[in-house]
Amino acid sequence: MLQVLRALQQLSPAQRRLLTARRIRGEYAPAQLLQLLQELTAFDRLRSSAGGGGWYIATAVLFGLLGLALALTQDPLWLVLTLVAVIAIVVLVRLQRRVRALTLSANLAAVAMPFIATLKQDMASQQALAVDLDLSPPQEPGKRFGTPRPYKQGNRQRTDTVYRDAWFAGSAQLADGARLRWRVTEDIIESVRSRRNRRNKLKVKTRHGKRYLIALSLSLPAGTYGLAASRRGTADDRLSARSSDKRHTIKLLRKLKSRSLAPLASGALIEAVSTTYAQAVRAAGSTP
Amino acid sequence: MNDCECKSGFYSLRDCGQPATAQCQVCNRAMCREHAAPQSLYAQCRDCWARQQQQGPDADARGRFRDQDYDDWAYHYRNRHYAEGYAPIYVGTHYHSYYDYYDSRSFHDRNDNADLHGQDDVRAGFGDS
Repeated sequence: MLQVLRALQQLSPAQRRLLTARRIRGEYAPAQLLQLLQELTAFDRLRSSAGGGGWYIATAVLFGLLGLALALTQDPLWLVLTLVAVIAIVVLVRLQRRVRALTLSANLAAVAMPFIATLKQDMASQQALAVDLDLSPPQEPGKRFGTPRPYKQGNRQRTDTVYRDAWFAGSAQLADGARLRWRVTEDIIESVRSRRNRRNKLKVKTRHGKRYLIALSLSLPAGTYGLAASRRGTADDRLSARSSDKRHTIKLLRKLKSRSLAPLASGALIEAVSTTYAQAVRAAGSTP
Repeated sequence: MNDCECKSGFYSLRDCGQPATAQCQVCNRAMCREHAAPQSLYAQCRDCWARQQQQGPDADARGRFRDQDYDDWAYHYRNRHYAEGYAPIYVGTHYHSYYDYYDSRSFHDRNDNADLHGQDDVRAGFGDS
């Protein structure tokens, strides 16, 4: 935990503010944004590998009990040790809570950073990327959607809690003149199923399901791009294309499902953008 | 030396346009500093380096995103993404046959459309420079 606190002190005030707010909103050069996120994920990696400081708390509890035992059997002055231990426990628990509150969503390293790394390739160095990135984990109490109501399913009692996490949105002007906008939302359904067995023991199982919605809009300059005659996408995609004299706009809505709590595959968002680009062809008469 | 012959971009490809500082030892393309792979001591372009690494024994581990070297990762992923069938549109002016290797769709398209001077509407496949 001390290592984590030291690493926290080494971050710049702006990075500490972002880490506390766990939200990045604004316009950034892709390289600058990646650099910033890289430092935050490095901190998060250190935080998760360092553990929660449980050993420190356990040691303080042990000393507290030892002081109490000695005070009762030997000298009441040993109560000072207990007092010091109690203060240490309070401080450690508060620090533990503070460090835990800095937990970042796994989506950041798994999905957002690879996506930004690919966008960087398609952007000129002076172009800016507008992002609204929620860094907090998806199952925060504030992301709970609706009120969970228990219901009966056969001999089981079931309570479904839905967390809605609209965690990533943004737009970018690309070097080929395209404008890309995206939004990623995920719904986590946490289903707690309980039933009593023959010995009247309560058995509880928790299952998770995830639904992702990726919404993309790609606007391409009509001078460079045309629209392909046929749509190319998966069966579940909702694709639409609209053309004007100056631009073609392709929209994609992609729904994905997963039974695990693991974040989306790194390539899922990249793949979705590729699908929108696959609807375009080079405009007749454009160079080369 | 000429301009860099490597292509920038992921979803679409464009000319790099930077002055070349070296030549790739594998594909002989002129390359700028940014398109040279630091791990090859700037002797290979990032494309060739990514291809070479992808054919190595621990290609999967290299294909995983490690945020320490996101530029490298993007080249790895681009190489794999194109090999799996994505065919980017080329919006530059300087053809090079280098990417035809990846892009079977455009290669077939070009044969079908039979415009060897690149005036077709193919996706990414470049003629000889």
